[in-house]
Amino acid sequence: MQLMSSQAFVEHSTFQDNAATAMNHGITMITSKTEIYNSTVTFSEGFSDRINLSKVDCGFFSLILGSTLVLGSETRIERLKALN
Amino acid sequence: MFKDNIGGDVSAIYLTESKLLLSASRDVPNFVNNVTPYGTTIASLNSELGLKRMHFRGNSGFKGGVFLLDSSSVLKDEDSVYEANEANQGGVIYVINESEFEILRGSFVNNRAQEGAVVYAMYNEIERALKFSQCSF
Repeated sequence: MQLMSSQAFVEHSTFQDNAATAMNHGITMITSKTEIYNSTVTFSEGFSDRINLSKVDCGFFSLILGSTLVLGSETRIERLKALN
Repeated sequence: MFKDNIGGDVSAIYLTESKLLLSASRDVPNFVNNVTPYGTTIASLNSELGLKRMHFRGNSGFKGGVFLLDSSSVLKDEDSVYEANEANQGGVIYVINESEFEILRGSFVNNRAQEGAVVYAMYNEIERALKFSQCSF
């Protein structure tokens, strides 16, 4: 997801094995706000070994220019991998 | 079913200040391989879309592989599948200018874009304008 001057809300959801070839596997925000509750972001075991990470800077969340991220209860971020 | 349609700006449905209601069985894809080089599959300007149990597969566009929501448009969707859709910006949804969506129990599989595999959003500053609930990505 790429958000510019926008507001997003995610609940009771799962992000599994979402892989980008550049920048960021997940949500990039520019002057935006995202709230996430009761959700899971994960790579399966061994998934990151099979993808090209050479141009991926960020595992899942990239916040730019006054963005806000709210991670609420029961939200798990696990096993993600990026270059930096 | 909308299948193998080719558009310039819009390959299937274009709405301006209108309302679209669609429902089907998600087991069978009902928007399939619609293509437009410049736009999207369903474009909405200041309109309302209500969807249930739809299945969008293999649609491609430039701004939104499936939807372009513009100018205070509102999308409400339940139990739909979005599979292998593709665009330059927003593999499924390109949403702009105080538009909103609420997607309940959506399934997003193998959608692609240069920017925003599922969503590319600009200038939607209403609180919780872009809402996903019980979705899988």
